[in-house]
Amino acid sequence: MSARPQLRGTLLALAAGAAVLALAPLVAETYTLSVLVIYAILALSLGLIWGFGGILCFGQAAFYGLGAYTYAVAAINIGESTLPVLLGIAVPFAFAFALGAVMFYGRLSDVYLGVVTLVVTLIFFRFMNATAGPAFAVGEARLGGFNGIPGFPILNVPGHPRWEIYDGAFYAVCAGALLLVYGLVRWLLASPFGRVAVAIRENEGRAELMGYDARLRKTVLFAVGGGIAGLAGVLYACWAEIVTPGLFSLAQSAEIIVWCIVGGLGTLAGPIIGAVVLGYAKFLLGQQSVIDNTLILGAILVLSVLLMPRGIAGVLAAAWARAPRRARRARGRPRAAHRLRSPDRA
Amino acid sequence: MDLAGVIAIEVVYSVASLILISAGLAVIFGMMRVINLAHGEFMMIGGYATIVSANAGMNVWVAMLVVAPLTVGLVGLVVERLVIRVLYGRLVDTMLATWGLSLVLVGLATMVFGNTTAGISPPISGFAMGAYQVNGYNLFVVVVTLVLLASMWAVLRFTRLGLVARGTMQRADMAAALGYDPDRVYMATFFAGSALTGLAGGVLAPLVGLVPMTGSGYVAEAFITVITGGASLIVGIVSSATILGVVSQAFTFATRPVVGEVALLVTALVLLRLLPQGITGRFFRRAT
Amino acid sequence: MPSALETRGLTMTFGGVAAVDGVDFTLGRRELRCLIGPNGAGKSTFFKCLTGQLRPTAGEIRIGEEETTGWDPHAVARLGVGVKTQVPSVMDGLSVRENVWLSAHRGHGTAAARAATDAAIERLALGDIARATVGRLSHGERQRVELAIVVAAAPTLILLDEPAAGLTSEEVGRLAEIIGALAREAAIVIVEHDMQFIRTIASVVTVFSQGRILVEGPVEDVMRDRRVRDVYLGRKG
Repeated sequence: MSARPQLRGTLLALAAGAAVLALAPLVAETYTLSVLVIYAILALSLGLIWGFGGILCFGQAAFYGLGAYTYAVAAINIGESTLPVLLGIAVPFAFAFALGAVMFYGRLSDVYLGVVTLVVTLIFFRFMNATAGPAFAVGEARLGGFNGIPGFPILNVPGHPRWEIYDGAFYAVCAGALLLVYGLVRWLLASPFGRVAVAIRENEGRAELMGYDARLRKTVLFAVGGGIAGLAGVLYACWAEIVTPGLFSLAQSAEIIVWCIVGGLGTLAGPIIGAVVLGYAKFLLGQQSVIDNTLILGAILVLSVLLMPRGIAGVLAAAWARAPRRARRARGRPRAAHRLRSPDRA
Repeated sequence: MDLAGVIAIEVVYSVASLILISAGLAVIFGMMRVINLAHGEFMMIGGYATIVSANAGMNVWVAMLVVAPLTVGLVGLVVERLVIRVLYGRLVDTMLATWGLSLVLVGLATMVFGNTTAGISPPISGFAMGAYQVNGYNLFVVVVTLVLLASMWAVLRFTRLGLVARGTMQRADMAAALGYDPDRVYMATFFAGSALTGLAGGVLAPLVGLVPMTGSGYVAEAFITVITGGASLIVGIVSSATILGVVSQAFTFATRPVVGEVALLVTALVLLRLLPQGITGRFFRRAT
Repeated sequence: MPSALETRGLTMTFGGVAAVDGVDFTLGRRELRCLIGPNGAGKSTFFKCLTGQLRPTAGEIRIGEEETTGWDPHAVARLGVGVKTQVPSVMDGLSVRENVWLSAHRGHGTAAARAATDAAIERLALGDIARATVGRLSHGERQRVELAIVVAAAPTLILLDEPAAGLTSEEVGRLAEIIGALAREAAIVIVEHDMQFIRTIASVVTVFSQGRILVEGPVEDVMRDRRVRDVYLGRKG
């Protein structure tokens, strides 16, 4: 309805984001920053489908890992990185589309959605772990089982395989990708498609009675999320220069969910903040060995579910506009993204 | 003929172990509509409880059949009071919080026991069947599972507690209507479910090399078995464990174990797609 | 000219019990019809079969020129069918305007959605609360929002399930006016309990009993019918 303020808000957010991204190398190394930005993109992918589509995916890591593996395999076979990058986005997109179609046309409710996505991630994890040996190869690329695929060509300037992109330039690419994805997602959410997606999250039955095909729309949204996660996977592969089955692990999926929860659902800034803050915390914690990292991640997840159900973004927003928020909370309205249909009982 | 016997034992064992690892989760899910994603870590605790007590000189049977369930039951009580109780009725939040809890427990176990494999040898030796060697302890697991199922059935069928439990599974407000404090019922349920989980962890401990990460292998399979089974507690897990166990063993024999695992997961996906309410949502509606 | 809505032998059974049992029903274009009957007569089940929320066991549904038996709700809605459900079904987290816009956008496309939204808001007198979040409104206001959602799509067939439920008498009066105006643009089916309301809109009435149509006719005639009184008093005529 109000396209102009929307556009201005987006541009402002993009400008602020660009400034932060440009200044960040003053306080931290671009190598670390790159992976934080990649995490941010990954968090955004789940933040989009969960926070705005109400689709809780326990297996966002599946698309992330699929993007990374697709890139690695394609880069070994092709050499030049442009097509592998596109494939690394397209394959997870297509896979998420197919999986989403199966789930949404099957009318699976939330818990079952969680189970199915979790199971699919596990299938990838177990399968990839078992692909040691020459029998498992795609073209010239061996999948390598537990050890993964090392030594594939990293990102290069399109058309020039020798001009590899790394360090500062790679950080710039990641930063650009984050801004681009953020802008696209903002645009998508402001478009009729995005507004209908939110409507479906709010009340699927009503959206259908209005004439919107919720199944198709959720499938498309899910696929978009898968594509974005795939992009994050591609960038991660170029950053780490190795892909391993760990990308598909449940811990990886949990991490993405934690970023979104801690950052705040139903916003786009929230998941990004969550990913960067927790990603950096993990980096700092990685340098100590007194307390186990997994323990800290888990504790953060438990505590934020218990104490901060609206996340950092929610806390900030509440401080920003205290009065109306409080009025809304007083009505005891459950968070929209968490509203559930409980599974039917027999 | 011997081969057929060995295969039959393997299949029965795999079905039984699926039932064993799912029972605690099924009790908690059936009664409370809570999915405990720390289920695998509860089993892991049961395993460590068994191994530590056995290594400390305790009788191994006491360790796995008494110490493990009690330890995990108590852990469950604490968790219920501190976390689960706060989140009743918020299914997804409970899943997330218990997932966080599972990570905490993995981290704690890593700090306490380190990232090394712990284990005890099976207290029952194998025997020969023709040219093949049969693992005797597997048969013990089958027996434990049968006893467990029979006692669950008897408790649900013949005791007051079971009546309350069945009522609560049908309708959440039933316990209150019967004059029981739902808070107490939930607490007792979570204790019972956790204790069953601890028992499973203890009984299976001699068969696995226990590491802090062991739990994550269990939780998916237990989770799938329970959800695929649907709303009816016993019939649900028995039917889904049978289907999933047979399929995965068939593929394991035909190809290799990892294919069996993947086949199990794929079967679960297909079943969920065809029967979104679980097997007992469609069939055996009136079963317990 | 085809009728707006027609069912032939429509049957819906739940585990052997026929909630709707071989109903033949015809609704003319621009016709206003009320469905009444005691609880459990099958009105709501019949209604849900029409909207696509339930898939009938047997029989046939025709909306305009299309046979819609077994269609999904969104496909039925796209034929120009506006539905108001028994419990107000609105998007609680969105504003009134957004709720209405979503429906207008489906019916008119992006370009014309804005005008259609304004018109529907004006028509249901929602201007003052257009920016309010629907979840915070009163029951009566939510009922009106749902009607605005229905109106905004410019439907040719309107199905209303108990629109007067829980409204004050003043609100009921206004509702009757709105429905009167809508009846000049579209065919309307109303499931209703409130006889006073039905008299106000002076409708032709179809009485359901035990899954079948008992009698059809103008409201005054129907209320004099002995069989109708019997089913309402619980006697089996």
